[in-house]
Amino acid sequence: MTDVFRANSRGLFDFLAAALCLWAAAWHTPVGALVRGGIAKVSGSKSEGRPLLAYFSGGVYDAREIEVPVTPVLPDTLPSEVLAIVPPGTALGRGAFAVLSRQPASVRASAEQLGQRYQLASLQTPDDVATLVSRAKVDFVTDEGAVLALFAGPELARYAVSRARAEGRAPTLEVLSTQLPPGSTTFFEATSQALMFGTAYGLSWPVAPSTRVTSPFGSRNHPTLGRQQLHTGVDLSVAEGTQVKVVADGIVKRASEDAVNGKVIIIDHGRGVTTAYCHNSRLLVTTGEAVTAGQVISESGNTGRSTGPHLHYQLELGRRPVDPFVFRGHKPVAELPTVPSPANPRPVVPLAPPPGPSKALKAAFDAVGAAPPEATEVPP
Amino acid sequence: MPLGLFALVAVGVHASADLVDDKVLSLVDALDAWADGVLAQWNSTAAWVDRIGPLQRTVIARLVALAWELAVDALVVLPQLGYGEADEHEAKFSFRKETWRTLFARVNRQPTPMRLVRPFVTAVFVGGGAYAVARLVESTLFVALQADVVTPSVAEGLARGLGVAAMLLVLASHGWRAVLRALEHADAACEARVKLAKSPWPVGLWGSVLSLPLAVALLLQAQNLLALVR
Repeated sequence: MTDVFRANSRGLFDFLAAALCLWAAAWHTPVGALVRGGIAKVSGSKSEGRPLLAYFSGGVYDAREIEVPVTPVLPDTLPSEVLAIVPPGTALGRGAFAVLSRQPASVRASAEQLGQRYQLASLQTPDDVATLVSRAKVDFVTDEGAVLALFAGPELARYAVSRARAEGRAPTLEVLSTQLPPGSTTFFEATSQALMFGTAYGLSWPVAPSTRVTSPFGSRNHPTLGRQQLHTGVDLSVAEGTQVKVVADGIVKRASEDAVNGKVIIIDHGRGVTTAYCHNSRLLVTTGEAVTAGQVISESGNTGRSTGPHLHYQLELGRRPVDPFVFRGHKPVAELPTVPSPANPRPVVPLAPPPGPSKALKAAFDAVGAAPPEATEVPP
Repeated sequence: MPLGLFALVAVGVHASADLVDDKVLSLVDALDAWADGVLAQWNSTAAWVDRIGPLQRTVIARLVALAWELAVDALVVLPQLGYGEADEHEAKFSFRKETWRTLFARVNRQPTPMRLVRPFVTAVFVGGGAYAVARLVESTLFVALQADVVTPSVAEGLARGLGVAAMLLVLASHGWRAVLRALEHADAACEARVKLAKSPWPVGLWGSVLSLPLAVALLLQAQNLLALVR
């Protein structure tokens, strides 16, 4: 080495290498984030660092991403939540459309360009976006790649997918997020939110769609503890022994029993979406088992802290409980406008999960109409 | 230079901590399920079941991963700041084969966990850190170049070449120095203990125990390096 480079050249290379290492540490490590935060504080500028804990798992599928405030313009006739219902098959398009509608004009314009590349005149409806994603998937291999192309542009998405494949790793969003520089965080937040919403819109219902809801999602006076507490799911009134069907493909994360949840099953559907089924009388799957949508995973019951036979069904996005009714897609709804108009300048988009109870939502579902009751159902 | 060495190894440590955080989360989930089962057995404690929700479990798991990373930074990476090449003589000294030979001879004569583990984990972290630097250089250049400057395929080729060059530069300039410093630090710590007529075996045990799983996790992902030539 001493024969090849003169001493002062070596000094320059050493300096360059040290600068590269410091640059990478500043952007890639929590220690770097701490230092940058400190510098920003001292200088009075705004730190661009992510929260410290977001430096793990690429920061995708995080609950903080679903806290984006949404204020869509909605018709007065129906509760806003009803608009979230989508027919099965367009779930991912609906999720991507919802997030795309809230993106800056530059991102939407870029998405329109991508649409034109795939022979779509415009992206005015969830169906347009669903079509675009399915066409783009041919080039970008997975839903993750196709949705990323929608938000980050085709070149960046193609690059991220090709680098992930070069590493011999499946192009999941976590892996793709490590392939682009730190400035791409916003693209990945949008993509992960779209995929979470899209997955949630594609979920079916664990029991008969018209099953009566005895306790909706939200804050309530706990029936046995007697204090105000967040009810993290919905209680569905079903007779003991009713078949409980898993709402989408997934992996059983937990199949166990305790005195509170009774016999409980938790299913991981991927993309930050999990569902839980509590108070069963009999579990038919075991931890680690792969399940397919519609598979009977348990028989409902009255085990654990329960005042009567029912199924507690819980949906979590980014590991945060949300109202499953917001993403329920099995009841018919009236045709609703989704295209922006002068009177309705923002397209009607599915909502991020509302924070409070959803009694109005349940009432809206009942008003819209129910499927014929099934044999296993307890009459209201 | 010492700051560069610290940064390089710290980047490698974070790359491995990022790999194990999912495993930590699974462990926290399992512990929570077990604790729920225990608490649910008595009426007086049943109210505590489900107090820790999935979001809190994620935060706990990430805090554990962060604490783990910072502990390894403090115990294993921080000594890199002690690297010194004050004058030309010292610089030449570190190039000499005798320096390495002497240090390895001491490892052979009196192997201790610190003497064995520290150079190994540092070498692994250096590899992970250098790869992270290469990927950052490559992706940043690609994003910058493909916008208006050149076609995406040219941008990709250029970015890849410069990414590989950055990795080689970092390894050639900092890689071996970091390993040498780890060896030197371990040797000095063990020798200081020997001078006090105590066994050098427990020296630096915490750092070794904490860093070894991270290094192994990173090593298991070594196939990622092939991406540089694919």
